[in-house]
Amino acid sequence: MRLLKGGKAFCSDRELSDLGLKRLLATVIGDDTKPLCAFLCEAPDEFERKQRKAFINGVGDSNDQQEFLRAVQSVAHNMSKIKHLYSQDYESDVLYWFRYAQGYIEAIQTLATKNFEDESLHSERFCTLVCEIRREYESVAFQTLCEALQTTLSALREWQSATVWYQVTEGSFSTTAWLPDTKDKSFLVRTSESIRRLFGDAPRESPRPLSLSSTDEYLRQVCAKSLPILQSFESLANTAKRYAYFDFQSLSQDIRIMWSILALLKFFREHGVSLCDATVGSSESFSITSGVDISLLDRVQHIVPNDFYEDNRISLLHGANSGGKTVFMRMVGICTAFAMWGLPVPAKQMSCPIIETIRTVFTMTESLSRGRLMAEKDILTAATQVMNANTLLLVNEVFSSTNETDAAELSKKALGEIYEARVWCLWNTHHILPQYLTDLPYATYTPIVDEYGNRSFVIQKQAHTTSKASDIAARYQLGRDQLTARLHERGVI
Amino acid sequence: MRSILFFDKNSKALVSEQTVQDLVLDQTISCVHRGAEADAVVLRVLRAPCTDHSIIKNRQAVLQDFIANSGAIEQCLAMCNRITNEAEERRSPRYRMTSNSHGTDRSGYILAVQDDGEWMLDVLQQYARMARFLESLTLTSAPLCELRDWLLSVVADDEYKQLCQDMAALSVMSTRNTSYAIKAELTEDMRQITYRLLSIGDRIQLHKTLDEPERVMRIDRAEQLYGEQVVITALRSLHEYLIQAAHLLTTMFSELHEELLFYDFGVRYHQMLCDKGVPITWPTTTTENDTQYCGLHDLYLTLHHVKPPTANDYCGASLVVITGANNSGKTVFMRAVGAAQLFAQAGLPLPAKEAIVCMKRCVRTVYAADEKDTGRFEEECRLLSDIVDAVTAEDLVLLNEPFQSTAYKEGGELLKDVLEVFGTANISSILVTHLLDLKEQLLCASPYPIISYVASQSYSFVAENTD
Repeated sequence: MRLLKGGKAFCSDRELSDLGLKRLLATVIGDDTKPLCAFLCEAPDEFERKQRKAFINGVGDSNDQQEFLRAVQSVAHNMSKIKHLYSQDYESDVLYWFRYAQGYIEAIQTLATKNFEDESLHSERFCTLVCEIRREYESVAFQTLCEALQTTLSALREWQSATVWYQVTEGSFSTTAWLPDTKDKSFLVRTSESIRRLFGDAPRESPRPLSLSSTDEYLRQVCAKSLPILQSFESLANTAKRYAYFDFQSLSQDIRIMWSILALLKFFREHGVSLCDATVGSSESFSITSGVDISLLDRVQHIVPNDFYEDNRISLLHGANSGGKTVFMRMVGICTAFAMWGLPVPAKQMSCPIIETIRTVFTMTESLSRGRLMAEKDILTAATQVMNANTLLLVNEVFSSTNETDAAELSKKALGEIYEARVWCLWNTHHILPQYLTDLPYATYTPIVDEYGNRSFVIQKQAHTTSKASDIAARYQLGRDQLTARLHERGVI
Repeated sequence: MRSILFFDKNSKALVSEQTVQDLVLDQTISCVHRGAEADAVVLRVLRAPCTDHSIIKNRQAVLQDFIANSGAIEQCLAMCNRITNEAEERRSPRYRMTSNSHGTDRSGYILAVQDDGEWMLDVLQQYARMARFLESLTLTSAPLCELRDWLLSVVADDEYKQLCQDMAALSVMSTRNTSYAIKAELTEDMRQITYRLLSIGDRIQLHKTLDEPERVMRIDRAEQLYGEQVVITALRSLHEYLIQAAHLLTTMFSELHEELLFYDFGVRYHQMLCDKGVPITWPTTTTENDTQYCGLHDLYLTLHHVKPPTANDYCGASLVVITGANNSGKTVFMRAVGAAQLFAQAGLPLPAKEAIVCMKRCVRTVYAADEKDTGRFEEECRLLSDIVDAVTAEDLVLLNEPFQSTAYKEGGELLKDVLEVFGTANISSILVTHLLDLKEQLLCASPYPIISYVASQSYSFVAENTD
């Protein structure tokens, strides 16, 4: 069974990266973000979203459940450790199956007999897991496996009491072992090593010295005695292959992803971010109250929350440089993504239509083979080819490497296609686009600048403002007078 | 050591890492496929543009000599390589551990000294081989001729011959005989060996430091008087001295090796340009006139692509403005000029019909920045501000479509201010832009010379004005 099921493709690594989530995940959960990123690239259906939400909330609130899931993970870890003890063809090694059966039986017994103090917190998904394990514990198959193990153990005890340990030496090879009926040295080494791993290094009594050249008679004796134990091992291996089917590895992977998600949510709470459960699919408009771009949490002390209430499918973001346009766009993207993943959303309130895919088209870097404009055109074309009425498209400062008229024409053409496809789109630009878009319904959002020219990072529907480029340039002393003074001071002028 | 590159390894890299990336210099160099060590040397030379005419001329002459004497650079490199590699191996902790672990075993030390002698002899003979090899070449460049003459004078010297004899004697020192062939002389207190190797001027000498010959004692006599421990101490000291001596002698090869790597790159680079069928010119450097290229190809594309890119003529000015349609090759044109500037000042040939290069102290670039924490516009402001802090009137500044991420009017005004101040300060700049209004404004009101290039067709550029 799976604790967290995937769904349809929702976004790609590019989107996670553009929304700043990949970097944030690396900060919060460390380097190994691949499993979580792969998980987040899919979005579940409505049913799974609800199940997931209940499961994650339940585990987050209950120490009992956390403890149980840690036990499951520890079992999975032990089982995988057993696998690593053996060579690549471990499945044909009877000793592997012996160890595996021992580990499996112990795991199921431990987990199935665990009691929970607070039953009321259990989500449906968690209950299913517990029931599955208990059902396995009570099953005939499991009993058969236990019996097979018991038979093997008693055969092993009998064999141990009837076998003599020898210190075998031959050249540089030296081991304490029993010897099977073969003269194949590599097999000899392998098998004796396996036995040593099984029973530990120290023999029960002092080994008798034996040279490999004089083993013929010994081999015959040992083989006669070891036949029943070999048969018993074979039988146990077959039973374990057939009946020990519970997949702890997949469970462990799901639990690992869940810990990452819980760590992420804890990180949000520690940074004072309000989280809410989003309502998805109940309305045909976006409503986000006090949404936060959480990708900035590890870099910025105070993030200004913003609202986004919109029933227009196209929204233009336009205005002052460094005013928070890109942050606003990321906020909308992140909140929508979290809602679709069935996770708590970093906002005070959110409702939105069902979004099946998110696509981002951010400014591209110039490559050697093609210019920036071409790269942006290509990526926008690729995004528009797969979009539909349930797509959210985030476009950030594209076409800035051409002149204003061309950029406006290109933008107008792309926005026309987007409007035709009824895509939800946020288009961030510094171009004066509105005058070119007279025949499209859209909303315009701009950063608010106060009367003293200070940026508040609040984004609202507002008329055209200047980009405040000269303010920033002045801060870097790039105004004409400042530049002259700087060069004069250094004796260049 | 006679330098043939005249490059101070410790000189500061003026051209920034970012500029190297913007001008794709690292990738251009790696197209020549001479290995990471050679790439690093070439990049170091390119990043510290040479502004001395005579040095550039000398480098060009040396490179021309190596090109004319086919296979000479490989042979020289192989000679240096063998010594450098062996010296490196001998410096490694593993080797030192093996050679120093003789303890109180006299025969162990004798073997070590024998080995040192053999190694020293090998190094000394390499001097002679190198001298003979250079003598066999047809050389016209002053630096190579001087190196050859110096090596010949070293190997003809009596001290060198004496040293060879001494080392030959050491290399066959017997482990059984107590009377050693080498006169390992001891001072009176029997603690300090006097066989010292000193470097005096350009000569390498094995110099006996004792001023009073009567106090010298033969080693077998010393042993008779003071016991075996004295001999072991003497042998150990001799071993240590010989290690230092070998280090001194091999330094010449290691330094020469680095310089040869540059020329090895140059020869291969020249060969690649020949193979591509592009015209090759040895640039003339100047400080008075503006840079002029006739039929200049972009270096990276020439080396990287099968078919050479379109050649363009270029005439420098205080400000050069490059405009044109998207994907018309504006960035490539500017990059070609920037990279050619650095290659020319390194003494390398250029893929052009003709080149007169006005020497610059440094080349700096401001390319459209990527989105970072502060936003693209602010990042570009920061870059430009850093340049203003370091730029001088002898620098060349390349601006590739900066300030795209703000409104056209504001970006244009800001650029106009910057360029006009640069012009007043006599700082040469090249600007790639799509802001046609800005170009018009600059052309109309400029008090200093401006040349404007416009993309015509198939990646070629035409100068609009040459006033």
